Amino acid sequence: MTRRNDYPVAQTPAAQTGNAKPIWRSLDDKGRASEERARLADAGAEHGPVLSADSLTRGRSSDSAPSTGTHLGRRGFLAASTVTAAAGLLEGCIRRPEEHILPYGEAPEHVVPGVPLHFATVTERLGDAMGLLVTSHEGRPTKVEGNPNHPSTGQGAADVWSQASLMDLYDPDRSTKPARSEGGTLLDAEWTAAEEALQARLASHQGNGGAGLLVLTPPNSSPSFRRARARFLAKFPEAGFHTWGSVTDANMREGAKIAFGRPLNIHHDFRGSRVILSIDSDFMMTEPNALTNSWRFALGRPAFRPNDPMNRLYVVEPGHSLTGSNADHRLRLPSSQIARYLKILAKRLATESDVDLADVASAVSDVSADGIPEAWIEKVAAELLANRRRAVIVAGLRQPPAVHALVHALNRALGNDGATVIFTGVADDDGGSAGAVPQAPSGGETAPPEPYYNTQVSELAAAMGGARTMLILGSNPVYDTPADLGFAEKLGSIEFSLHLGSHRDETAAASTWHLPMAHELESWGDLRSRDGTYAIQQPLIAPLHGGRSALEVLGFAAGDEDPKGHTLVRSTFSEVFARGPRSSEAWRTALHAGVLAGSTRRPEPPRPLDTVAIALAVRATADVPMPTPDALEVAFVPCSKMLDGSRANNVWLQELPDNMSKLVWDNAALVSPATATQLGLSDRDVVRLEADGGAVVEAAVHILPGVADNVVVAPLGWGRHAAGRYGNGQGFDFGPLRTTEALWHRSGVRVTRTGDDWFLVRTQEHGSMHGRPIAIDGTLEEYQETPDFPQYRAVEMDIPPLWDRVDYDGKYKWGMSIDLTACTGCNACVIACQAENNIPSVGKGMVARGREMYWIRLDRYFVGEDENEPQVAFQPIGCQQCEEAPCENVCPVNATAHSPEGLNDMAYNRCIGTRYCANNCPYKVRRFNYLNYHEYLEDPTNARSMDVNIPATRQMSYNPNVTVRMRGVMEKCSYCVQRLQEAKIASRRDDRPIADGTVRAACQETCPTKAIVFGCLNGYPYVVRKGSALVGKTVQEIAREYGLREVRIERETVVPDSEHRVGVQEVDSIEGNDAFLNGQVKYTVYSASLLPQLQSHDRHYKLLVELGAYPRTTFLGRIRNPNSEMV
Amino acid sequence: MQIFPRELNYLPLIGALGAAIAGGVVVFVFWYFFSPKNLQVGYSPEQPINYSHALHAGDLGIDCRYCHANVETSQEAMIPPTQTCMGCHAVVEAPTEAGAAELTKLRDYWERGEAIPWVRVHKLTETAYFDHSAHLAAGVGCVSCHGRVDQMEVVGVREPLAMGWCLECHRDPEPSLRPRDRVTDMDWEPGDEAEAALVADISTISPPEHCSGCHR
Repeated sequence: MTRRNDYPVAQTPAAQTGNAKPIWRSLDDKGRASEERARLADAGAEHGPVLSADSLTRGRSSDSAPSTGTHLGRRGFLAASTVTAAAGLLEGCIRRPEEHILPYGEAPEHVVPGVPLHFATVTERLGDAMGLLVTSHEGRPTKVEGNPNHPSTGQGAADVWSQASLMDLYDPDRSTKPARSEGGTLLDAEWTAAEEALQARLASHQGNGGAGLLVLTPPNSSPSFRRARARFLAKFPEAGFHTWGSVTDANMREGAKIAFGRPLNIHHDFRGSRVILSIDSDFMMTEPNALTNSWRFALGRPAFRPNDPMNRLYVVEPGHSLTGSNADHRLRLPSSQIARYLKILAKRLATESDVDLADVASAVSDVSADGIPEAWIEKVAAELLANRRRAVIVAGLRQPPAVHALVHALNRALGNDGATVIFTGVADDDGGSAGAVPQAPSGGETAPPEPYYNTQVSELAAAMGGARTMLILGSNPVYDTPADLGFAEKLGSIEFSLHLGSHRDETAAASTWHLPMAHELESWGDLRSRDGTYAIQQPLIAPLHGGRSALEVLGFAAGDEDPKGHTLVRSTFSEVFARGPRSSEAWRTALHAGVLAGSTRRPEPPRPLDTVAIALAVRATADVPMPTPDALEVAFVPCSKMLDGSRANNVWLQELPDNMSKLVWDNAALVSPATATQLGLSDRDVVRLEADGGAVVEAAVHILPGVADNVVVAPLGWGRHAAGRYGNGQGFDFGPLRTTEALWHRSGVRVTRTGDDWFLVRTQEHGSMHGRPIAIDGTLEEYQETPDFPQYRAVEMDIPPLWDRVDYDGKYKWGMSIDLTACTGCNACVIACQAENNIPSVGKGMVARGREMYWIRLDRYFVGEDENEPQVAFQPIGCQQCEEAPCENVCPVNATAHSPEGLNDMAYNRCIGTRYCANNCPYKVRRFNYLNYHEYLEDPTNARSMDVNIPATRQMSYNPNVTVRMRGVMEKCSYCVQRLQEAKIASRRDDRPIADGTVRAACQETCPTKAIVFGCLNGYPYVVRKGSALVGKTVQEIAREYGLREVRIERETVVPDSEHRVGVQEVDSIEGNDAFLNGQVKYTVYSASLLPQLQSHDRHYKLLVELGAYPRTTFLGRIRNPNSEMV
Repeated sequence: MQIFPRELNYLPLIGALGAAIAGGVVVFVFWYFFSPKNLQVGYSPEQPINYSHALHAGDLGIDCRYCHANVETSQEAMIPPTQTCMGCHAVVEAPTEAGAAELTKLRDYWERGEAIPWVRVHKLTETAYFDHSAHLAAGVGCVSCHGRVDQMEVVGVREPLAMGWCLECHRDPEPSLRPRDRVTDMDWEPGDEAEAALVADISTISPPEHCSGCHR
């Protein structure tokens, strides 16, 4: 290992601009003990710690298993290589193995082998619908994108969960057969037996109208499902029908119910808002409509001209959510204190003579401002007042209904209602269980209702006492219901319980019957999104394991004649949404588009505000004392990877580095550096969290800047023990601390160290740039003063090129621009890249050695001096496609070489695995297949084998247009070269120039904020051939007919074997004269690309220009918009 | 006292010479006989149904695209579904007894709804992504890679299908080009002047010679 001197330019940016803040990746990086860095300093990462070969090793150091890896000695190696050589020789001598091509017998309609099809469908997300566009290769779904027609996708984006749902579909641990519980174990059974058992059971309830019969489902906005529920309840009027979801928008609905007398869906216009105040709301990631919110938020801060109006985001929250990490100002506050903050703000606003809070003002008059910074009351209030009708206050799903109600009152008083806040009716207005929903309070006498879903579950718990039969359709309540309900125990005392689920999970184990559930890509269904848009869920593939959907099982229970998903959905469609003779046509159109045109609800006109009810609700929220080191507060947050834990066996999500902590394969109890110091905790310590009533959780500590002091942030969805091979035993389940009362935060928790420690793995130190300034950010003020400030911050040096410059004139010249102002760090691009390019997951042990395979490294930096209160900057880095690529110069076998289009090609079949290129890459974006990673997690002992034996379900998920790389091969971002090739071929084949925006890299396609722009720096060239439809047309005609933004035509003289283009002239039309027909002149049509403008924008900069690598990817510096009065 | 005769002094020299020659022979054997030219060319496996291209494409003159229908739109030329065969052979009978036996096999597959397990003849390495539609759009004829299929009773490989062979044409495509409407014509010769002019349209195609042109 060499000693490395400090990089000399690391200090210069501050010196140059005078106000650049320090930037750091982790506490270690900021100058604390640097154990992890020492380990990873050697980029080869070969000399990592000796870890168990079992990649899924549990993290506790005291029970780490001894290494089970096979070590190959010298003799063994020689023996093996001799055999391999002999085998190779033999295989070379004989003819290749016979291979069969199995064509269709009867070809399915529209399927052309080799040409993928795309289908629109829809999936459930937090009770909302999310439109998808799924790519299918000969019947195998291989890639999930957002459906641009659907309102939830922010014009075609997809979040990490929808993209990773492929891994749920192809999960090797999915339940494949019904099962019956016998003596506590599940025994396989047939569907017919299950049907008969259920039928017989339901028949026994016929006589009593369904008394003692219970159904539990997750929240669901499906009209067909609601109709089936109605039929079921008609047949069993006495039955209970309940809803439970661990992470839902129940509080939002309840808040609206208090404020307006009925539940409403709330839509925020983040684009039109100049000031956004988030009250513990993660509206960009873990809340409904997150993609569209992100998109609108980014549109509200364009930063393309210095005087562009830019919104300002204030966030109050306990620990960094994705939204908080994008804030201009962020206040760390324990969850329990956030209501108090809002009340103080309301009190301050009420002092203005023209802000009318009516009864609410008195409810907030006696609140104390202890521990809340003055600026956050005065300055924020001033901003909100100055931006009436153009500001928005948004409360998060973790906050109680009273907070939501108060937010409605404030938004109304500030004139934001109807301007930046829009309401629509909810899909299931008739409530969960018929008649069971408490009527909205009409006057001051009625107490505010209990939270919607909580009411349901406590009610359910009561009902379960007397129940004889219970159907659980598609959820896992044993794992995710509040601990105080004792769900498992109650379920155990029910005679007949049936669980429909994708896995034989915790609830399956506690039920008497288990049925395998079909995946959302395998079943028919329908969903209405929050704005009412109706979308049909169509299956991409027949159920792989013969599962059924919740809709089908409910239809069966309701006694439907033909309980097939398609029949049920089709009848809903023709009876409710498109009646009449044109129904079939409308059905086909809606299936194709993914939405039913005209089904979107109109916004509700502003309803009168029930200020009395709000005042009551606000008064009822008791002020809780601030947490102290002896009585900490645990804040439960939806995990940015697991969400609620239902996808715990998803290998892509397990390995995805968390947005903020960058942890993989684990969650942790997140605490601030100050709290850790005070309690004497260090990173990776296993601690015991104890609450009143004997609830105990053991969890590892991760010290994360930005968490409120005396608060433990606890991401939900981990610590499963019946999730499957990947999810079992990963992370910690904070569920035992979660109760009906303390659903989102629990006070009075004591922390003690157990003395054990846990092997937490995080990627935040990987690919460190050793202090070089690569993620550049500045303020709006700075930008207005010096528009090209990022170029000053980056070190500009004049490096002469090493090789002759390539002439790209008249050719494709691909490039990419990434706008860091728009990038929110949501991880969607990382998963999109993984899905598109067949990137394997490698397991915790391998990530610990720095061997993760992601082609995009989404760096997260902390910015600022204070290690407790830093700002955050994100930067996605893939291969920069350098013009003078350092990797190419060192490859001994020319496996990585420059293409005439400027790409840095990687030929896997030529690579011999010297890893010189990775060592010479200044951006650290190359990834090496140290082992046979595609089957490594299934069979670690086979890791060194060259025998490829990948599980069939995994094979089904591969993109057939990208090589599956074997062991010993280097790989890296290719700009999705397969898509470029296909676009070029299609352009030649169909005789049409490429339109800008139609060739998109996978990361670009899914980016919710459109931060990534890919394109052609010359414009897209199209050489016109004889007989082309373009001949004889003018510039305007071509632009119009082919939908191109801007067209330029060049004519040149053809000189065979000339190195340069001769006689190039710009012309207005393509003339099909003799010179053209004889091949003496050649026309090239260029359709314009947006990219050149971005690559020459003031804010653009290239990474590490001083190295002279001339990267093709450029970045646009991040602009923040802080309030100068608050700094 | 000499135990060994003097001639033995030459033994190392002879041995070295022999080893060099033997080495040369081994290299030659591998280089020549183990090249794709020898391993690939001539491979014509027995098929589950004795289908004759010579009869269908040659004597009957059916265009290639009648069966390989998607060759102009997809990267894959596509082996036709059994349905395509049955389009004719639901009524068309074979004149010979041997032919009738083959047709019985075909109809059996059709009735059982089973895919016919055709044996793959032309195979490129899996790291190469060959696109039929791109080549036809550029004006490369079927015959350039597949040979005179219209004369083959049993289809076999006629060209080495190795990277060097691909590159020969990518570096100098002109001899393999023809008018785009004659790509399936097995007999086409660059004779006519007008056609030759179309072939001279070489400046509008740019066969890739870089890695990512074929390897993704």
